Amino acid sequence: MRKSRRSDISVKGFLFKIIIWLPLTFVAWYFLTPAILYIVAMLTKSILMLIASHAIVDIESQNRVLEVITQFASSNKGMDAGALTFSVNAMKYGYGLALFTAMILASPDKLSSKLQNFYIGALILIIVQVWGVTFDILITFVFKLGRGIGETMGTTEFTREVIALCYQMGYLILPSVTPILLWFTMYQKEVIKLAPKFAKVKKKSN
Amino acid sequence: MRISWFILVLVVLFTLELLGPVREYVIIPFTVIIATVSATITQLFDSSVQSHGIILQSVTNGTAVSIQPGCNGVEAMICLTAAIVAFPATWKSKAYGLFFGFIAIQALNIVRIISLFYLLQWDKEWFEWAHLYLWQALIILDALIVFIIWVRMLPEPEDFEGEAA
Repeated sequence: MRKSRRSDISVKGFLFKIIIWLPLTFVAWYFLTPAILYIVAMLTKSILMLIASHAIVDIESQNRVLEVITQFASSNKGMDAGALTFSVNAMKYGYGLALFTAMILASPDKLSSKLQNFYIGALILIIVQVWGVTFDILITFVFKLGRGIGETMGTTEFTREVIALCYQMGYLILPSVTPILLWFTMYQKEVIKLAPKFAKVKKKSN
Repeated sequence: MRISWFILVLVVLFTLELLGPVREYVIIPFTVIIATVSATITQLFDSSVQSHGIILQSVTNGTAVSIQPGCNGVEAMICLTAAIVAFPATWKSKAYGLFFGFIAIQALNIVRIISLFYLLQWDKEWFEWAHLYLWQALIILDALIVFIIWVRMLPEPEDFEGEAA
């Protein structure tokens, strides 16, 4: 019993390490954002071309925002008619990568394992970001660009509700919960060291 | 901890939060309370701050922040509730966890609101950064730490074996 207590990790120490790493990982994430957004733009465009090809021309990554070029014409009076465009702040769906990286760096583990977990986590967190951006664009088409454009999307009352729910999920829950769940799943040993009762519960459920 | 239970409770509570009547009769009145408490605390050192509904405002320079969904700590509380419900423990222990977790999350959330209110007056770009990215990460981290501390403080498993959820 005493031996297992000695190998426990203090919650304070773990939290302190995360707080130390977090500013650094946020800075790294900020500078890597153009590269991440390039991938996010590509994946989002591929998905939207499958479900709303009549509405999308292109999605470009520009200066840390995504520029969506639509098939619809802009109708600003006194200006030359051009394609209707709008921008999406894709970063607000991707901060989980900075948090997840800080948590990995704060956990005692071999560098090779940390790198492996980082690659898997980053891939999943990019998918979460793509989810957020995709539903942000759909919400804009269905609810924000006016009734005429909304009607061209061919949605029903039910699909509009689903889009709204998935958008809120992708904005309020997934970016924050996913890194925590990933860390929790990947670092079971550390979780048990932080709270040894996890081991007893795990043993009981097996 | 059963991850499937965690996800189920998370989705159910989050969907409930988005329902119109729940927003109108639970979430908005709760957010008004958060704004009032934030204003009351801020008035201890800055008498120019007032709250109107879900808005915190400076009467001297007119700066105002509106406490929107995602900034009232409800989502972090939903995550913590899902984790506590999914973890086998007595209902009494779960109730303690939810009560003290609520206090811990809302205490940090009030620090977030007050800090963002002053950050907005100082620099809009830093405000956006702290608002959209940094504080979101810190609040969910708070929920995780509360959950881990709660698990550490639980009685030994054999004590709650009979009542396990």
